[in-house]
Amino acid sequence: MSAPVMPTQESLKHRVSALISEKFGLDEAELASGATFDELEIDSLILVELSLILRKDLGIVLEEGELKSSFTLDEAVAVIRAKADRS
Amino acid sequence: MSRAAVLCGLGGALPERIVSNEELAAQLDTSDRWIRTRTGIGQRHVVAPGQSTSDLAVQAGAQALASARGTADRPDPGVGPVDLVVLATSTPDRPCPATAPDVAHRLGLGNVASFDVSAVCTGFVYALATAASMITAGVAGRALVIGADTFSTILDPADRTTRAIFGDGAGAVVLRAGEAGEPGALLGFDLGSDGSGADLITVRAGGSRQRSVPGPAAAGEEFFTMDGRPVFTRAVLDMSRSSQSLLERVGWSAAEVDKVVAHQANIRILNAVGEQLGLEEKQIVANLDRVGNTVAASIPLALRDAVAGGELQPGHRVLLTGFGGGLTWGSAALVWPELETGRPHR
Repeated sequence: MSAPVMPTQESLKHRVSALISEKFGLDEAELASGATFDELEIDSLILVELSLILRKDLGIVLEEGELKSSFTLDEAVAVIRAKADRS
Repeated sequence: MSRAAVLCGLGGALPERIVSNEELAAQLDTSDRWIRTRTGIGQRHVVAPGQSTSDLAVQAGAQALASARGTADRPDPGVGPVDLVVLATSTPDRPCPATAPDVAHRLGLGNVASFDVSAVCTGFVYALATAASMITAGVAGRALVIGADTFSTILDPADRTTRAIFGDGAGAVVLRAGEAGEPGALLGFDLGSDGSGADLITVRAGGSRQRSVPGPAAAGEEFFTMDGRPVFTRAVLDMSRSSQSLLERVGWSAAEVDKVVAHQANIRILNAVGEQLGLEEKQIVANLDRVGNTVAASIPLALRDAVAGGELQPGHRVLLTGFGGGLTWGSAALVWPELETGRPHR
């Protein structure tokens, strides 16, 4: 199996947004609006599920609680990106 | 052909009383929608006052033994009476002695070897591996393996999360000595543990750690607690890794498995395991909407419901996988045999 190719910041954002939208049925426009996950009423398990998918698809290992429900999509992508750059 | 342990009987039991999500919502700050979206559970069964784990274990065991007798046109091959009872439970009738001898006695099995196995939600897979190994080694010829728990007796009445998730129940299988290659022969196991996660799923008081400290236990420490989010992550990763490892050993790809019967922890955990393993929805067996998480009983109860509903058929390649307190995890594989089973449970 080849190593996962790390997307750029912008494509990572699209990928995370599409993933949340596809897997958890949330509107991408709402995600891009700058609202926090809390404000979008995303339940906390979705962030755990998202971490597991990122780990499988991109090899990015996020620790428990690193993705917070007080984050906006941009803030979450920044944390994921920083983690990807360190790994 | 080499000697193997072959699954030849299946049974299950649930207490009569059903607690609906609406009933919980009337007592706690929760709702049917909250519980269903976060867990996939619609109701759970709970024991009546005075009813214990052994009561359910005896019912499930009797049903499994009846199913193992076979029928006139397909009689049991007859490899001797049951000579081993292994009971997986974390809610034994008493801290000491084990509950299995009482269950064996009440089932009229005589002076057979019997003991409990403690691996919380992985208990059934651990008990199955133990009994199968004893059969393969020639120590036993026919074993009754039961998973039974009554977590309603150790939950904090004010904890809306654990009360929504857990239900009581018992499930059982009969294993007999047979030959590798027979349908029902257990093909392999993968077992593991990580004690660094002991605090994630626990009852703090009631054991020697607390009793060695003078004074009463701190408030609430007699209750079961679970740290939901890290447990979710570990459950998904450990069941997925364990499944992968066993599939490699057995020589099946994930796509070749007909049914994955995972510990019924939470529908979202089952779906996330499916995602990790690349499974399709039809491969995943789920009955937790009706029974909740029944701890050690969950895998045999899910097997029994899947057989009763026609979802699990003879010849199917079946992967069992569990995860629980300890932390512990384990998987088993077999080709499903033809069985005589009783009526589907409620």
